[in-house]
Amino acid sequence: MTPNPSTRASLLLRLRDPQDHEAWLEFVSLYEPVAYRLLRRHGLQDADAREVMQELFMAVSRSIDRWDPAKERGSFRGWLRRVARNLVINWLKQRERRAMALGGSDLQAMLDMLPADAGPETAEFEQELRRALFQRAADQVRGEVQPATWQVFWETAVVGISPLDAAKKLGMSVGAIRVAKCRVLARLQAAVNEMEKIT
Amino acid sequence: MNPQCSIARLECALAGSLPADDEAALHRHLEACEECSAALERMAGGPAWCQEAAALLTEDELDAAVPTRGEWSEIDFTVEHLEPSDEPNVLGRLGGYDVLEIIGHGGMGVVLKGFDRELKRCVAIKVLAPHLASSSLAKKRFAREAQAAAAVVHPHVLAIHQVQPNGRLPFLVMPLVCGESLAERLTAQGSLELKETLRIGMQAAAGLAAAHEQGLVHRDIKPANILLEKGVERAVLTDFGLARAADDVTLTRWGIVAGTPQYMSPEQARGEPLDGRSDLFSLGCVLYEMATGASPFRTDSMMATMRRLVDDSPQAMGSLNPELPPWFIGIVDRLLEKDPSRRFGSAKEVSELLEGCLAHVQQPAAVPLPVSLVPHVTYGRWIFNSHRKGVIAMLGVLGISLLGMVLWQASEAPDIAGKWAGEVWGAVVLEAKEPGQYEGSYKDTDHSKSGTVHLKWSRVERRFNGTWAESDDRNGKISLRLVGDEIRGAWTTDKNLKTETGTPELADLLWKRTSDKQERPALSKIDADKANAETLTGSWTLAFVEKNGKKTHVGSTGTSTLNPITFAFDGAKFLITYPGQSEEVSGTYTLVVHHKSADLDLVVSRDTTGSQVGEGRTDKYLCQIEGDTLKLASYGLGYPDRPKSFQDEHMSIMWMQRLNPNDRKKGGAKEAEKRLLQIDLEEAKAKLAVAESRFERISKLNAARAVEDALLVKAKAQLDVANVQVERQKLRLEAFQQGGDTGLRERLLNLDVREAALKFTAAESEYGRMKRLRDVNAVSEEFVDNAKLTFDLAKTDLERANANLKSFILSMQRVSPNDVTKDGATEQAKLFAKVSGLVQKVHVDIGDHVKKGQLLAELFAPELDAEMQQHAKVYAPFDCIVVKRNAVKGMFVNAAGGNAEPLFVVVRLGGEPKKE
Repeated sequence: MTPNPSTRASLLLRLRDPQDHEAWLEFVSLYEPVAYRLLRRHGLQDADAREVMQELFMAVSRSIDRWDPAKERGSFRGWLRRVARNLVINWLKQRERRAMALGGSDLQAMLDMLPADAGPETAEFEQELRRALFQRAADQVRGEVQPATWQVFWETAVVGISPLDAAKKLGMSVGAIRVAKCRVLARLQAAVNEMEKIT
Repeated sequence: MNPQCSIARLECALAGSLPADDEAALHRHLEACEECSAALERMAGGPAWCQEAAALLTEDELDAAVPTRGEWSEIDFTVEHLEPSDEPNVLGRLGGYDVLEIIGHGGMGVVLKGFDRELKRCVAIKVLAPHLASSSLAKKRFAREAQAAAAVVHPHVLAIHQVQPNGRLPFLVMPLVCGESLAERLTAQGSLELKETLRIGMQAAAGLAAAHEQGLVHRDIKPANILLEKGVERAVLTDFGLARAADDVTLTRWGIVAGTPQYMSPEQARGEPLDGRSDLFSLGCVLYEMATGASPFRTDSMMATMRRLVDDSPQAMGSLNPELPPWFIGIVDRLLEKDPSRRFGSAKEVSELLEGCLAHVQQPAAVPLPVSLVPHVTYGRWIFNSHRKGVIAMLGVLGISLLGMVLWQASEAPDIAGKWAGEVWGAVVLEAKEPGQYEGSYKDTDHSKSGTVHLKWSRVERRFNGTWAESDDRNGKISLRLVGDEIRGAWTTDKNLKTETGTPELADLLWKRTSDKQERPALSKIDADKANAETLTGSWTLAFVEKNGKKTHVGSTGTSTLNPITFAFDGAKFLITYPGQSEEVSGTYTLVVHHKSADLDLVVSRDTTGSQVGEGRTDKYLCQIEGDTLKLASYGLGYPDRPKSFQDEHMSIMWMQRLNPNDRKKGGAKEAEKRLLQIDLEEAKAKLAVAESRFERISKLNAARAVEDALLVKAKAQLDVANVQVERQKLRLEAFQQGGDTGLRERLLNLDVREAALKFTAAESEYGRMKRLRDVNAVSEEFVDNAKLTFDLAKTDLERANANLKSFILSMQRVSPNDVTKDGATEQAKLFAKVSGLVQKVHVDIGDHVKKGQLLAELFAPELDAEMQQHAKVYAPFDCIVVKRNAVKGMFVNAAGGNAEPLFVVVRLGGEPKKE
């Protein structure tokens, strides 16, 4: 699953090939957490979020070949967001019809909360996507470096211990700590940028 | 700027391309130089980047909830392959139906909701899971099973409208049932009312009966597979025979189980062939659960559950639900018998019985309980008045025709005359005075007591009752029966005596027959195996059947006389012939030696008869061979432990006589054995042809990337095994024709090792594959467990095969080192190899003077492990000259014996060898 930057075509283009099963899996594994988290953030419960997410991917798989990058204004992501939005609206309306007897007074509130085409919600989507990309990149980079190197990065950058403490804890010199941390950061940057280009 | 500060160096450090010394130097430099540290950070993206990374990589609470990737692989594969549709709300089209939504997701694949535009009705479409859909074998089975199931038209069996086994997405179309499964109802309600339990049980049994009639075994009866249709309160069986389609692809070859463990029958758990009665066991589990709310054999792990249902009894139903009537408990207990022959004979019987019970429960006053359930004697257990199979079943197993059989009647007095011995009684001698009446005496030499005994057979009680007397003032009553080779019973001392008798009022009695036989010396296991296997080999005639001491002649009546039925054993297959009739029965068998006793077990499998229901049965017999007499007694799953000897009164013992040993050499029997061997060879060749064509097909598919590599590897492994089997059969035929030979035996053992190694490698890779599939959630944990079980079994088999080979070779050691033979006056000795193998090194040449113990040649025997390799060396037995050398590097040599050539011929240099 490691992307090879020089030979890979855009993931999205690959998605239009129904035989490219792997592309689909990659796409799903990347966007799954994005969709789920967004839906949860917008107030859907776990079961509902899963249901909508399922339908979302169904919808994408059905209509991906209708997405023409030349014609569509904006990016794949924009398109994806629009598909998702329509889908959630439909789903909520359907649920309201089914739950008529039970009230469903919060429906309107939910509808109001749905993202419009632009605005702060876009940023939210982008944020979630970036997060997902980061995690994918981290998986990849982690496989590429020595375990000790990764540990240095994790402790100093994410957990936040000072280089001095880390040096003591891991039994390395402060200089070595600095180099290891920066090495990982540099690789991460390269990986994330690469992924941004193709998703 | 410090000359040490070099941007280039920092760049290399980030890329990881600095040599170690330079890097160490850089580390030291960085500790001192702030500028370089800062520069390094900038080059790595700067502090903002670092902060972003930290934030985004830190997990929050939502991360824990994100569903895992795997649920998608099957669903999206399915959806992807639907034909597109422009209709709104439609996912796609499949086989002329609109696919509306996904209903569920099970072990076999995905279930979709479809809509038939022509008939304007909704249907359920079950799609085969992708990892199965890529196997043409699974698809074929799927098709066949589905077609068979579609042939079952019954109100209590879910119909199958259509089957499409071809294409990338094989599917089945069934009616969409509105309602819930029994599993769901049980989860919601706990347990059900008796009426409902009986009704659902009756309907399920009726459905089973219809399917069994078509020759189908369900194999996966469980609450989840029983649908309860809303409104009409109708139970419908579903998922018929589809468990088998899943089986065959990944699992069956080396005997894995399939099905939900907690409703599985013991024979299923053991991987033995099944018939409809296996479904009855599962039905019993379902009835149990409906009545009590808990399934009888559930535990935490699949393995523990399987062990429980094979060995243990479930918790008594009465303790879970005290209101259950005893007749119902009796029905469930009988369904849950471990031995299939003890269960009800058919689903039809069960259905009718439950129907009768339901009628009674609905109108207790007007309708009585079905007749067979009316209480019958004893011990708190409901005994059914139906006829128990007993001898007939056992003989029926071996295919003996029921026509013209002569059977004995019970309740005649068994013969207890003879010498016995027991505690307190000492030596007892009994004589028959009249039929059923015995008189005897006993002598306890230790306590110098002796007396007389009178016994009379009671037909009603089926025991001997009588009295014993020692002297005028010591006497009492005695009651006993014959159990196999022992007499068991009890005795009392009459109380109305004035003197102290010193004997208890009531005591147990156990007498064993005394014999003059010596203890048989313990054979080593191999010798025993070999000896017994060889002594069983040959032809026997069935002389009579013994039960409770009474013997009856059995035979087939082709003419008006009784002609003996003949059994031929050839080491792996058996053949039964009925003189005067053309019918014959064959199958395979193995002999198993028990460590604890000298008894053997004979495990017999009948060949498949073509019917799908009775796919072949496995039966076990206690086996004892003494000279030319063979005793076989059937025992089965009903016995909790293997019976210790031919004792149990329920046993029927078959006595057979060896066909005149001289006849063995002549025509008849020998020809039969040879024919069996030839049949084996043909069978193995046929299987090889099948494996070859399968391998070819899969290779092509693999090249076209339609199946995964793992399946190709598997097909190759199967092909290799088939080749080994053919070689083995050829060797066996050769051995038979040459009259047995140690060289051949070794080759056979080597083949065993090779086969075990092939199976082991295949099981190993299959295990790995299952784990991988599990990791992407394409299969459940159960598949991994199954694969691991096979893997462990294959490992043990390999170890055992190696051990057998090793001990055989070690046994050759007893011949003598280097197998020296003297050759006339010149004390020429021929040296043979001890093991077969390739000559790896030769250390001497013609004319060399060698010392005693000097290494002459080394062989390489690939199948041997390190310990055995040391036997692959040939040493000089004494100081001598090498006169002739046959050993050439690279040549293959056979071990001593048979056709082996000597490796060296040496001449001893005069005199006795020096004493060390």
